[in-house]
Amino acid sequence: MRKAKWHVLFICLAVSASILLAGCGSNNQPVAQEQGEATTQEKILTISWGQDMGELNPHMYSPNQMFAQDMVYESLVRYGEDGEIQPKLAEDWEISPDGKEYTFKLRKDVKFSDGSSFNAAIAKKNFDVVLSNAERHNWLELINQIEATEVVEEYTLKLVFKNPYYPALQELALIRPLRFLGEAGFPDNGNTAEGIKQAIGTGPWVFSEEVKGEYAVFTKNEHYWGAEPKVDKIVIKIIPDAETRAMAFEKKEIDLIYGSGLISLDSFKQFRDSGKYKTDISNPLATRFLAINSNKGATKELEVRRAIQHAFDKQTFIDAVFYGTEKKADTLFASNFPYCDLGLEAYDYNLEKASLLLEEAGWKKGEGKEFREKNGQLLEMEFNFDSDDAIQKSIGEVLQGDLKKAGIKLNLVGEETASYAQRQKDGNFNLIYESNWGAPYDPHSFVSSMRTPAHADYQAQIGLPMKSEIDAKITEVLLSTNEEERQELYAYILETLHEQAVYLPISYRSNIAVHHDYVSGVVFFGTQYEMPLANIDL
Amino acid sequence: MAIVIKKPNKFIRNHMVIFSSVILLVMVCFSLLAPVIAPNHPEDVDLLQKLQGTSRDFPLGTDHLGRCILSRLIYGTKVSVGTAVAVMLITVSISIVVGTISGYKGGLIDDMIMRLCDMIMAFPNLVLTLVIIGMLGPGLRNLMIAMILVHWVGYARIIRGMVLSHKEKNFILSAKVSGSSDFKIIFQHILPNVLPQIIVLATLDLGSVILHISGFSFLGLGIRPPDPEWGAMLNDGRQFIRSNPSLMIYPGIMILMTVVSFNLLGDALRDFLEEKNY
Repeated sequence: MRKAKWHVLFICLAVSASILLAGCGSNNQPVAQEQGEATTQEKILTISWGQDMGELNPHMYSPNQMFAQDMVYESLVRYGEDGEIQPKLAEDWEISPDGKEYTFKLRKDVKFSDGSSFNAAIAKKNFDVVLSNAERHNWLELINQIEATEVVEEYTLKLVFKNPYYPALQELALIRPLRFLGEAGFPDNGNTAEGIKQAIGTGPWVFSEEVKGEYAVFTKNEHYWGAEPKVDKIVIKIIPDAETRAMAFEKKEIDLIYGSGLISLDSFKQFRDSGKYKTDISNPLATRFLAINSNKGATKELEVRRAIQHAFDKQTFIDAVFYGTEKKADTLFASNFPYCDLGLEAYDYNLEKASLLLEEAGWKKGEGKEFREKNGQLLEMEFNFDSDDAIQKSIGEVLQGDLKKAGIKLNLVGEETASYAQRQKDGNFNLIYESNWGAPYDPHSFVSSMRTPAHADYQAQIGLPMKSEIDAKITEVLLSTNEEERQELYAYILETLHEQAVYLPISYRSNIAVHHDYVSGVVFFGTQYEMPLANIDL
Repeated sequence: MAIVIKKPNKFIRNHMVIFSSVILLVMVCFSLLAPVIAPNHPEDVDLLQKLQGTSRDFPLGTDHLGRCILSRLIYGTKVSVGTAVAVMLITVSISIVVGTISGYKGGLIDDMIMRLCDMIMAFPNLVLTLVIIGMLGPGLRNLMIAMILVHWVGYARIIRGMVLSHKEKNFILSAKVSGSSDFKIIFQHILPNVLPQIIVLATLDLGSVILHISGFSFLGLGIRPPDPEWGAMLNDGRQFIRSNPSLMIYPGIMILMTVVSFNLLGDALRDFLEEKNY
C-alpha cells in the first residue's frame, strides 16, 4: 500500500516537471521561429539587442534604436566607406554656385513598404515636419540652416539654405532625424514628434512583429527598390545582459553579434581564441574620452588638467581592459577624420612631468601625506560615470590608482543612467565619461554641439577664457565656403581644446563581430550604427 | 502515512552551533582586524597582475584590475556583515520602542501607528526599498536608511502583538494593582519576556539582510566603487564568469557561509529558549 502511493507521487511529480519544462522551453522561442519551421526553407537570421526597438519614429531619438531605424528608413544620400557621399534615394544632385541651393533628383522606382510611391511631395512633408520641431533638433546645425523646401517637379526636390553650409550632405546621410516616413505613417495631427501611426519606410526591412522585452521581427520589404536581402526574416531577441547574450550565442540561439559593448571583451577574447567562431574588429569608429570640467573645483586650473593627462597610464589600461582590441587615442578626433590631421603633440605618460606641473601650480605634498594640498585645500575631484557600464567603472578604478600616484584624490561617483545624463547636461562633474559620434558626425556635428548648453562639452569648456572665441569660430567654420579657411579654423578650435586639456582621450572604439561559420557576408561599414544585415546570408 | 519528524540529534546540532559560531567569530575578527590580516591593500590596482591565479602574494589570486581577492573579501566583511548588523540593531531598537508604546498604550496612538504600518506593508519590501533609494540616491548610507525604513514595520507588529498578549496576563495585572508605574512594568516585566524571542528573530533575519545588501550592491545601488563589498564583487566578476569563475565563487562562498551560520545560530537559539520555557 505504502509503496503504491509513492509510485503515484513519483508519477505526478514527473508529469508536472515535464509540463513545466516544456512550458519554459516554448516560452523562450519566438513565434517566428516556429512558423519558420512550418513553411520550411525560410532563412531567418537571429541577432540580439539590449533594448526594445521603440516605435521606430524616423524623426525622433531614444528610445528608438538607431540600427533599427536604419533598417526601415533611408536617406537621400549615403555616407560611403571611405567618407565619400554616394547616391541613395537621390540619384543625383546639384549645388548652386553660391552654395545655398541644393537640388535633388529623386529615384523614380522607390516605393514605401505599404506600396505608396516615394516622391518629392512626401519628402518635403517629412522635411517640413522636422523643421517645424526645430528646437528638438537644434544640436544639428543643418536643421537651423535650412530655410525652405520646395517641390520642383514630381521627382525633384530643392532645399534652400540660409547660408552656404558645407557639411549639408554628410548630415543628410544621418540615420536621424532626416529620413522618410510614408504618408500612412503620419499621425492625424501631422506632428510626428508626438508619435507615429506605423513604421512605414523605403528601406529593405519592415518592422512586422514585436513582443516587448522578448523579441522583434523584421521581414523583407517586398517593394524594395535596391538589391534584395539574402535572408527572409530577422529576429532580434531582446537580451539586456551581456553574459546571457554570450551564452545564447554559444547555444546557437543567436547567429551573429555585431556592434559595440554587446558582449564583454573577455567573452570576445574567449570566442576569438577558441577558434570555433569567426570574429572580426572594425576600424576605429569613434573616440572614448573623459571631459575635464574647466569650470568646477580643482580642474579649473590648467596645470591640474594637464597633470591628469600626464598621470594616466593609458597604454597599460587599454592592454589590460580592452585586450588590445582598441587603439590608444591621443586626440579628441582620430587623424583620419576630415580636417583633423593636425599633428598635435600627445600628452605622454610621465609621472614626473605631472608632479612638476602640480608643484609649479602650488599643489604641494605635505610630509607623510598621500595627497597634495594648496592653502589647506585638498587636491580632490570627482569622476562621474554610469554605474551600469563596466568599462566606465574600470576606467574610474584605474584612473583613481594612477592619479593617486601623482597625489591627486579622485572620488568615484557611479550613478544610474538618468542621473549620469543629467550631470552631463548641468555640468555637475569634474571628470565625466563621453564618446564622440564617429562618422559621419565627426568632426562638424560634434563640434557644433559644443555650443549647446545641454551638452557636457559646453559645460566642460565654459571655464576657458577663450570659450566665446571658440564658439564664434565653430559658427564660422560651419558656414565657411573656403576649404583652406575651414582647415585653419578647425586647427584653431582643435588645437585650443587640446592645449587647454579639457579632454582626456582614451581609445578609439570599434565595432566587433562574432558569428557562427554558417553566417556569411559580415562586413563593416564606415559608421557606427549601420549593420550589414542586407548583405548577410546563411 | 504519517510523517514523523525526528528531533535532530543533539550531538550534530551542537556541532553545527560550534561550527557557525566559529565562522561568525572569524568574520568578526576579519572586520575588526582587516588591516592587520589582509595581505594587500584592497584597492591597490595593478593592471599587470590582473586575473592571476593563487600565488604567495595573492593567496586567492587577483581580480580584473589586479586587486588581491583575499584582501577584498576580508575588507568586505566589515561592509557586508557590519552593515547588516547595524541595520538590524537600529531596526530592532526602533521597532521595540514603537511596538511597545503601540501595544501597551493602545487607543488612538496604537491605531495611528498600525495604520502607518499597514500602509508601508501594502507594498512589497523590495520595491519600496528601491523607491526610497531612488529618491535618496545610491550609496551605502542611503541603502541602510532605506532598509531600516522598510524593515522596522514587521518587527514593530510582532512586538506589539507580544506586548498585547503579555499585558493581559495575571502577573502584569498584579503589578498594576500593586501600584507599579507603566515605566517599571514595561522594563521589568514585559521587555524581559519579549526580548529573547526578538533576538532569535533578528538573528534568523540577519542572513536575509546580508543577502539584501549584497543584492543591492550587485545592482550598483549599495556601495560605491572601489570599496570592497561581496555583492559588488560578484557583480564585478560577472563579466569573467567564463574565463575566471573564481571571481564569483569566492564572494559567493563568503555570503553563503555567513548566511548559513546566522541561520543555524538563530535556530539553535530558538531551540534553547523553547526548552527553557517548558
